Amino acid sequence: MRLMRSHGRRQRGSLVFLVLLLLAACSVLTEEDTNFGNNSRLKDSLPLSPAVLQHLTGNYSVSITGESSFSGPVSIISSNSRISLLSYERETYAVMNAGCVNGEVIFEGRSYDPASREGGLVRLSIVPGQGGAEICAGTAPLIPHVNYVGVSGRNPNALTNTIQLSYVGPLKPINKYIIAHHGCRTVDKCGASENSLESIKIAGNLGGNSVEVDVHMSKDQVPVLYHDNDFNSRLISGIFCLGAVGNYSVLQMKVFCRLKYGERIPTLREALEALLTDDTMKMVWLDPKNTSAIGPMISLATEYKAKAVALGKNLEILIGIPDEDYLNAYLSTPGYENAPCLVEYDFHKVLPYNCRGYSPRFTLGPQRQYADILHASGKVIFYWTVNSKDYFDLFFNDGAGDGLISDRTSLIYTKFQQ
Amino acid sequence: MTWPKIIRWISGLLFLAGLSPLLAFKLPFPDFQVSTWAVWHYAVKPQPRATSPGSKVRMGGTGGGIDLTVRYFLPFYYGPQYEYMPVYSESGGVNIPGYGDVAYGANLYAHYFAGAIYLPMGDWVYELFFENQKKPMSLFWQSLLRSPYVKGSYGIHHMYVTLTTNGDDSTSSAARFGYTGEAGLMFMVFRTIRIYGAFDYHSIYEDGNALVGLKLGALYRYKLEY
Repeated sequence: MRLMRSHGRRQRGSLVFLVLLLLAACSVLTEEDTNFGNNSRLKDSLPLSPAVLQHLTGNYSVSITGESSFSGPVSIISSNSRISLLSYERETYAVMNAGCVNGEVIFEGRSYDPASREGGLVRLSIVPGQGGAEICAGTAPLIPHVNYVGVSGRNPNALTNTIQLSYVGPLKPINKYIIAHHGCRTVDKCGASENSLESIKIAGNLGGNSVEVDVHMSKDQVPVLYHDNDFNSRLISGIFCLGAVGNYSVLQMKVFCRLKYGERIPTLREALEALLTDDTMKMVWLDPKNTSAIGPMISLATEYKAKAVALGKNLEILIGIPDEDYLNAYLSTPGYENAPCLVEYDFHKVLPYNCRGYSPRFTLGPQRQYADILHASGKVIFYWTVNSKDYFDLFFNDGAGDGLISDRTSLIYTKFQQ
Repeated sequence: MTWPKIIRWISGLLFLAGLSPLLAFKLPFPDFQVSTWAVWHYAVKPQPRATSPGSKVRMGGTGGGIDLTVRYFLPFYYGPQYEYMPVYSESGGVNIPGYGDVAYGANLYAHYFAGAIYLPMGDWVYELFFENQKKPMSLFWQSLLRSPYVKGSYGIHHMYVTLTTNGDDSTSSAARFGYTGEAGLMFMVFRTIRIYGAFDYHSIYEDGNALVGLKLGALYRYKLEY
């Protein structure tokens, strides 16, 4: 009987254990959906031209009431028919669509705070008496520079924080390469999946003027944009997409796989086509994930460089070389001289093979001695992947870097506006 | 006899001497049970996005499995299990910009290898309160009382997918962790044979999917006694 009682205690303990286990398994995580939905004021608005949006850019000071994600000096930039609000001090940003409603210019979009990983909503406007009517009519505002007023918050029905942006001065030109890592990262909730056509567009909205994308090969030897070696739930939402990327033909990827924000996996050709029409981007860095991708990448880079030249667009298309195997594949491809390389692993390979530059991992330090040699030969040095603003000075000033790959391009952009 | 052999003999004797208290304290011998089942998963949650609106879809499907578990020291049955399970299939046609109309088909299934535990709740109640009664309970009432159980497992799915687009076939595979939970009733039909029915929740959590279904099975339990 004593033995049975002992067993009974064990049994009751096991039962409690299982109930707790089941409760934990049944718990679900919910994610806030931040969009204006039916509360959007842009539903029946008239669009604004890129030239008009360009006129609305500049550096601004912020005054706020309530809790706001934005403070200190901010920059307003324009790219791909959208306006972005970038804050250096708070490391936050908002990407907004624009339109005119009854003589008022409205901007609406999502804000994002990478530090807290929380999103929100921002609505700005230029009211009729402050130049909105003239902008909507397509004429120059009577006042030289516009000011913005607006609201922000997390609930579209209760945007309780007010924002006022007062013009400080024009945007400073930037000659450095601000290289958006994968366009923008899926985990950063930037509004697009990394390595998608939309993320390349958003890269310009977040202050990037260049983009780094990853290139895999499909089963039928078509280069596609994707990072990991296999399809997984981190990047993909299609139930039929699993296992090695190279197991799928490009058509099977298009049919069955969606990136996390619903986009189809783009081919490299589609990405380069999109970059041709993107006036913000001056360089694309193609990072191969397979040596068999090098040949098709060189072929496409050569083709699209010629197209860019024909269109009068200065678009650099660089082939990343992460190690010796990739260098051998690069050098064995006929016509490789037409697609400049970017050596990621050994400075000494840059000059002999006439590569465009050297792109070391940032943890190796600024390597100033190499930067000076490269600059003397007209080459460049980029560092990857630098996300902390504590390091920007180290690489741009001490290292004399020409560019940084970053997931925080908005910070680099606003750093140059300080 | 060499020293290594002597040490091995002494170790063996010590081992046997160490086991003897188990008999002295009348610790129970293990119960073994082997179970096999058919499972019909009728839904996938969340419902996967259809490749095209008019596609023909099959959620889940009929699978089956087997496990071998033991009740020893711990008050529940534990051991390895295997299950085969269709997950999802779809066929139809879709227009892909730049590629035109595409006829497609796909089938996803899994082989699940896991560690399982049965919590024989009905048995517990019977063993705690009724087993040692002077008048033994009839088999009918015993079967009814002892029937409730829950089972859980945790393991790895070897997922396989076959794909066809415009006649071009591909296959791919990957490993995904997951767990299951089931609750059901297990009726004794003989002393050693039970049949059971259960509600089954099967999560392939690494892919964010779960299947729900109904299960029918038979179980053979053997109690070692001394």
